[in-house]
Amino acid sequence: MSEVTGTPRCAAANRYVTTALDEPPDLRGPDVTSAFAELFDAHARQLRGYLAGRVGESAADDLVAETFLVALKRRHSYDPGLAPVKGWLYGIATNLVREHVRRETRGRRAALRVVGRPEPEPDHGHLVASRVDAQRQAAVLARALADLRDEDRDALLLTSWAGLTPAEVAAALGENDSTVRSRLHRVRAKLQALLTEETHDA
Amino acid sequence: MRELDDALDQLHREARTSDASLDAVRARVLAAATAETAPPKRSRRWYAPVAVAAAAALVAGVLAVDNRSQEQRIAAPDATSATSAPEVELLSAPEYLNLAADAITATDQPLAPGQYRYIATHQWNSVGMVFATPADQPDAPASGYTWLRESRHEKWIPHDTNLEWMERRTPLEGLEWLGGSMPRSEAAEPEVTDVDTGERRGACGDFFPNSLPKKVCGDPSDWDNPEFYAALPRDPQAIVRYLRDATSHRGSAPTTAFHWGAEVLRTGLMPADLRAQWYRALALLDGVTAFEQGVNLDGRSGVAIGIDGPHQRRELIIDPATGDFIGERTTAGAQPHDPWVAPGTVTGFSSITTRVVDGIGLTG
Repeated sequence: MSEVTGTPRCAAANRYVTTALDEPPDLRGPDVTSAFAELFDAHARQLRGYLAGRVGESAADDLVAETFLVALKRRHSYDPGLAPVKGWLYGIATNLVREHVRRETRGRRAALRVVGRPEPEPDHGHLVASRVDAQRQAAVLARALADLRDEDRDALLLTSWAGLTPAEVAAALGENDSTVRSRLHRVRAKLQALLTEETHDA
Repeated sequence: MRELDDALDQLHREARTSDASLDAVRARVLAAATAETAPPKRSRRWYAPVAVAAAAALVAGVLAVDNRSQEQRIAAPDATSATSAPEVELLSAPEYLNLAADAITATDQPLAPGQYRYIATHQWNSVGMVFATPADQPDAPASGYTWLRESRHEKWIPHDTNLEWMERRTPLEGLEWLGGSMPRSEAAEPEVTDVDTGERRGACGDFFPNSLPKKVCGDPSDWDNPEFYAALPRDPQAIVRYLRDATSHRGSAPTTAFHWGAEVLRTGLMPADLRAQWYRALALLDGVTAFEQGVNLDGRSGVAIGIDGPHQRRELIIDPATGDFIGERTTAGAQPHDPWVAPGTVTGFSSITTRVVDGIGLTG
């Protein structure tokens, strides 16, 4: 199987990366291993970036593996006509994130874990002003993300961290395009307002 | 929004951009992929891996009743294959249904006086809550949650249906979380209500004598009655017409007609001669597909045949070698009815067993 070896390295996790493959591998075809090697090499790096942001680096590798194992199990029911493979894959991953978080801890503590704990209060004595602002902003954002509803957080981070288009997010979450677009609009406006407020307060 | 994008870009950036090796993860995934036997696709048919002797017996049974293009039906076991599993072709849905229909040669065992037809349904059903959308926010996303809950229903039907029947409903322990707009910890677990439990008796299967409309002995429109099955047509085309008429209030789409057909089978009361024709009728519906082989319900294995709809896929599980109706299954489609349920999630299934027993309350 392996003309394809190793994992391509790319500085993924940039918010504007879109890697929707024109010709996704035939997941229902005879050569399962090659198809999944291709799928893995096309998406694993970026997927890991997304998952590391959501559940931390230590759990990310397991969830990457789980995502592909679930995809393997469900490959016969995957219909390329209904959803681009990327949306399908991130839909699986996002469900696993939700399960993971709920398994790990419960309720509100879990929600905080989703985006990491709030940063500690910055030590003004040792940091330049811009760094302080950035840290405070990160803490505000992390807290705000934790307070979002699952579907809002998923839509936002799938576009921002995973670089999915709203249509791919819709496919991933099993919703329609316009719902996702209006949700994104609402969530982004809300978070932007929070950050602006924070900057002015500071 | 630049500020928000920048802040998101910076948040956990180190973790997100780490180039830690993924080789071990890749190896794990590809090992699992290699362990799956490849199903080469031939026109609209699939080959599915089946490694158990029972499957070989099943194929033999299939071949015994249908020898057409035998070489197309069975692929030679690949001696060099790593798993050395013989590959058995997954036929088209109409082929399976017709084979299953052909295989029903036995008539139902008649009941002697004092004997009962015992029907046991072991099922997992979706139960949950959908909250109303606030009147001032009609566009708010739906909220609620869904569980999958296990139960057993048993029924004893006497030789003379005018005599006393019995049914027993038993809630079982199984409970799975299918999703919700809130965390599992915040969703109420489903309650066991009066009608979920208990043993009831009644002539003609009238277990709830106060319910309306009143149950009438011998009512030919009542699925509990042998008269209902006796009155149905036996010609597959006529059965299709019946399924369309019966679902005309819901548009008669093939998915709806198939669902109706599955629900009638689920009663476990359909006589063998009608069941064979019923399968042939379902094979005539547009979009009927064989989705999976080797689906195991309570230790019995069969082929899943069904129709995909946008919201759900409805499947019957039948044994094409014997024509047995093993059970049925419902899976969430691309746009599940409950938006928090992931597409592809099994949202319900049941296995149905019927046998003749010598007394009310006996199970074997």
